[in-house]
Amino acid sequence: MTAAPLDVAPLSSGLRGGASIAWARLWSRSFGLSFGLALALTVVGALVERHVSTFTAVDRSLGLVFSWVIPLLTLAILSVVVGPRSLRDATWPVARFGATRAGCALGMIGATMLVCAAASVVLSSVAVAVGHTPSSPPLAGDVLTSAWIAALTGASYGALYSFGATLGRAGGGRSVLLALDFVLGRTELFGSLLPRGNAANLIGVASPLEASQRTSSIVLVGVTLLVALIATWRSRD
Amino acid sequence: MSVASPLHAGSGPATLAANPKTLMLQSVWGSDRTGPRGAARGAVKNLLLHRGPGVLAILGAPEDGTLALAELLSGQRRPERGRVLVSGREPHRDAALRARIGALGLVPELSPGRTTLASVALALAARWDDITRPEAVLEQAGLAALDPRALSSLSFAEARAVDLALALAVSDPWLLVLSDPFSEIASVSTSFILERIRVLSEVCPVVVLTSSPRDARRVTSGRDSDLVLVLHRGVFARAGDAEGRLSYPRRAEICAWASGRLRELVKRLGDDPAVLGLSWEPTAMTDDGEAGVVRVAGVDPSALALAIADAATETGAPIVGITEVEPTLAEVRTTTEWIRHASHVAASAVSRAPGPGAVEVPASLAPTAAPQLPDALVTAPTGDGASVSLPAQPVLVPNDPSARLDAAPDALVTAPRDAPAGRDDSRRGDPDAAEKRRGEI
Repeated sequence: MTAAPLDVAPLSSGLRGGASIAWARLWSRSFGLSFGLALALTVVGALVERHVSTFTAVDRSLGLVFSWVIPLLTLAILSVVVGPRSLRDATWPVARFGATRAGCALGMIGATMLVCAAASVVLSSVAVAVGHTPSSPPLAGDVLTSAWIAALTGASYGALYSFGATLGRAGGGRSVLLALDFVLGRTELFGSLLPRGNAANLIGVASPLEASQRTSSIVLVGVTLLVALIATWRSRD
Repeated sequence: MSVASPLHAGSGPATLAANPKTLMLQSVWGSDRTGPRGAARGAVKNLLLHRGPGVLAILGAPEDGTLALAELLSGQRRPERGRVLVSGREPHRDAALRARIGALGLVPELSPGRTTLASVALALAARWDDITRPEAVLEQAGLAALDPRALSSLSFAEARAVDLALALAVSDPWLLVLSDPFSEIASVSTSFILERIRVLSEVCPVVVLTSSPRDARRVTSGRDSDLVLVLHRGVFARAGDAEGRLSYPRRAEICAWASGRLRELVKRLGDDPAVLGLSWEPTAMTDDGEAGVVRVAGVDPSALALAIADAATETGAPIVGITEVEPTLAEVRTTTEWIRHASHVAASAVSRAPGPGAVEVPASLAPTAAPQLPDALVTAPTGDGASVSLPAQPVLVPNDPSARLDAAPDALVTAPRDAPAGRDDSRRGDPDAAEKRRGEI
């Protein structure tokens, strides 16, 4: 029996649906609690660093934010969006009505990356502002510089965890990637590919493979786009 | 008669009738992910089926694989093995096909939205539907009051009702998959659901998965195209008759309400040989003695009903109502288990050395040749000069090749142990005799 032709819904309906799923789930108490906790950690961390020593307090505060707070917060954001299942399964509330799963997944990943980036910008700005001392460089410059690095790093983690959510029946790969980033993110080889190593290079903490900050930026953008596309492809119909 | 929903402009009855839809399961294995951490609650194993338009009621519990089957049919999950085909297309990889599938799961999964109406509008947009008024979807199901409600404020039953309204409003439907459409549904009348199922089942397969034997029976209307199947431990283990009735070789139960003289009625029923079990419950005292309900159990429901009628006539007990008690799912499962056991006993009895005595097995379970896909298809005119080939009967292949479970075990026969060959013609190279045997069943 030959299959009859059917009209296919446009990609935009999937994108819109996926983004709607993400926004709807982020409009929740879980996200508020996670972000509030991350903000509290950032403030407390910056205050402690300033109390320990005013010298390079901003750098150490940012190190804490980029090493711990952003990776954990972005994982929490992704978990709120996707829930305890795989990214492919998470597209079901819209995909079941005829939207393409790839379109929905791309919408969800895009929205997740956007929220992760915005949240990271807020955290880095708060860290810089709280850790700022009279001996620090000008506040505005520090805030702006750390903001774009945080945006890129947050989006990169969002994409990476989205890819992790396509691994395993319940998307458990996201936790594995978090662990890998913690364990291997500061090594020379893997650090040059993972967000942790490149972010450390961009904020001036360490430089994997002696790469320049420009190279790290390009690698981070490239890896982010690549894993986002792979995650979309793995979630296709 | 209007076949399509009145909501749609471009999907009239002629369009739908000219293109009958089919559902085919080709050796399908799969499991659900509804347990903790994505673990499976149930699984289906090696299911084969081919259905055209009509109602297919599948009776079973989630542990038997009903959830897994619902997820496979709706396209939520891809089969671990085999293929699910809806008119030749696979729902799990075909977004356009999913737009033509109306699905109601056990747990509602509505599209996101601030209000119920926004959620419905997003679903229709994803469906690329021609419905211009999203509110009409809820109106026709009697759910217009939910339009402005915040989606998060809906109760479980209200969310399921919205989900059901969306499933029943698919334009040009290719398949309907409804999980327990009569339980935990708020505000949608049963008659509306039954009417939509009946109308839509004339143009596409409607699969109703339920754990209620009563629901399984009432969605089937006695047409040749309707069928009740029992999904037991992941396989289609039994089939009901044309009216969705599952046979119970050793059990029938009738319930009657008497508005007086209950004790006399019970006493008289106790003497009737057709009555094998009896219980009663007085509910009130009237001028005419005790009133209450009496339950009688036996083998033949007709004989039991006659016994009650005779007893009522003799004692003068006024009978208010009488009904056959539907079996529970637990009873269905127990009976199915018994039948499976009997089939194994029958198979081993046939294969062993002949001896004196007899073994009692259901007629439909007598071992025949290993089941095959039927070659015979019926050709149905489509109304526009073309035709489509559909199987005359559903194709069901049990996992156990020694037993044939695709017919109701509605009669018990005695298979003499000294003549096993008569039940096993095909193994002796006589396919005609085996075919004749199937025809008899």
